[in-house]
Amino acid sequence: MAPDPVYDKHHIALLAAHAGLPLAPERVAAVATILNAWLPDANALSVRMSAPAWQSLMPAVVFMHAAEPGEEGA
Amino acid sequence: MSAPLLDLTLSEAARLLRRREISPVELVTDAIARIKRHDAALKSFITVFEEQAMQVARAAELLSAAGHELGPLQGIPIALKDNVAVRGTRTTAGSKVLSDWIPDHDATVVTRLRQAGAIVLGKTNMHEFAWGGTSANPHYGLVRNPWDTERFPAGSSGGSAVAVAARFCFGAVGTDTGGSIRLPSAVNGIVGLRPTYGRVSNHGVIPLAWSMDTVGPMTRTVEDCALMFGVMAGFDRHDPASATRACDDYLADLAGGCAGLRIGIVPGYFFEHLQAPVREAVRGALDIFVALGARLVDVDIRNLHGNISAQLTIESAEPSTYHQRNLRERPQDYGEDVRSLLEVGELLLATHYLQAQRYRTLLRNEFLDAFRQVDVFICPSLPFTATPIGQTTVCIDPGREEDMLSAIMQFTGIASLTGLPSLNVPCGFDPDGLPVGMQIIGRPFDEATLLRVGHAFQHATEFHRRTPPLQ
Repeated sequence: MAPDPVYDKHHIALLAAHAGLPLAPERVAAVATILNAWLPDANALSVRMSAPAWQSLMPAVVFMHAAEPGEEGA
Repeated sequence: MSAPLLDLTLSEAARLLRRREISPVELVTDAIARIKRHDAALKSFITVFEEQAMQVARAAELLSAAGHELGPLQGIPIALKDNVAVRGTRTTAGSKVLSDWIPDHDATVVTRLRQAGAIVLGKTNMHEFAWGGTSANPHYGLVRNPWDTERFPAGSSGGSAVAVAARFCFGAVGTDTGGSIRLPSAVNGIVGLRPTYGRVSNHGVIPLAWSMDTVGPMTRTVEDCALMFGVMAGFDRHDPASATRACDDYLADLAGGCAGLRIGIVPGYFFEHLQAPVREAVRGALDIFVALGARLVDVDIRNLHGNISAQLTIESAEPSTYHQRNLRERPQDYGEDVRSLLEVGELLLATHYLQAQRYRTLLRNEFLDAFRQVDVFICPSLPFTATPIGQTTVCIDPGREEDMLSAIMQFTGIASLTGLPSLNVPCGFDPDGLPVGMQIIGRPFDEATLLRVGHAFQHATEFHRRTPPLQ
């Protein structure tokens, strides 16, 4: 597997612009520090969760407990 | 009464109020006086409802004198984290963005607590928008730990934990997404319950991450926690994630003890990578449980590693979605740390988020499977004791500083990701006199067992009776 890329400030600024969130240079620096610390682990988790053994797993969602019509709460 | 009224536990005060041996007016008067005396230093409250609380206390006293019983919390002063909406009063979520927001409705937990007779003293300080674990709030002041005011109170429900530990109130409401009830409960030496996801309504609570947000009680004893939780829990049609399942009677089973209890331990995770005093305190607690008749069972949770990354991804993407408009229109109104985290959350990939949500399913399945062998899991609430205020890194392994946000989630993520209930109970002190907390994690909707186990521990120990040395 290729090593995780380190996102430089140019990448971050471009990515943010694509998200409609133009970042000033000092914001790009702050974001880059955190993103570069987190992305290797996030990518590793994505690789792990892509394993054939876990193919049937669905993502957890908000609506874990369906409310039944007619039931009243507080 | 010879002892100060505020040293009573919530349950003791409720019993004396029912017998009319003390009055709600006395309790509120003492609480307000204590807040005025000490909270300028601790900064645990954003708003104090002095006049309003006194009015409610006088009304409660009249009702009590006339023989009316409002409920199990009648006349009890409590506090609410400031991300919980109260109709007609400012609710800031610790932010400048919402500094003048006046909700037109009460959160469901507020309605329930008031219907049970609780008196709301005020709204507590917190990490801005609950997105962080230090409660170093740039808009309303840095919350300080009453055990050592140079130390942090953790967060994000730092103000609620400090208000309870400092005896400003008998109980407080907190919210917990990645650990925000359990972490400050641990470092301030109090009890805090993160309920099963969906057990307590989130209606009227400003969200952090919809898929992990919970609301729960913070108190000094497990008995108090059971009493308050019994009032807060239950189905609410206003919350689409609210559970329809009936609630247990959380006080009824409290004295059941823990003989025969099977306690799960995950080797290679629960007692790795933590400060020695934390390890010793939680190990000591396990010895006490064994002496009380419990049995320790090693359980392999194969995919436990990876949980911190999943938490960070989900806890970034969801808040960044909620704050998307304000982050573009008024970014300067956010504190530096929260602004950075919200910006980061905009740049993670959709696949990162969904793989993290799939990981939650995997981890939950592994824990549900493990609950065939054990009744609860017990582990530390966080791997270190209160750090000096202002620190953004922490030293767990000698000679190595690591990022505070990642390190603080090491143990709380289990319940946050799986939706399982988890109870923090004080279980010791480090050599500097700073509290250590343990988590008791249980099956979905089995808060009754957590409370029974925690109560048995407090019945056998004195850690919860110590008082922080306020000057």
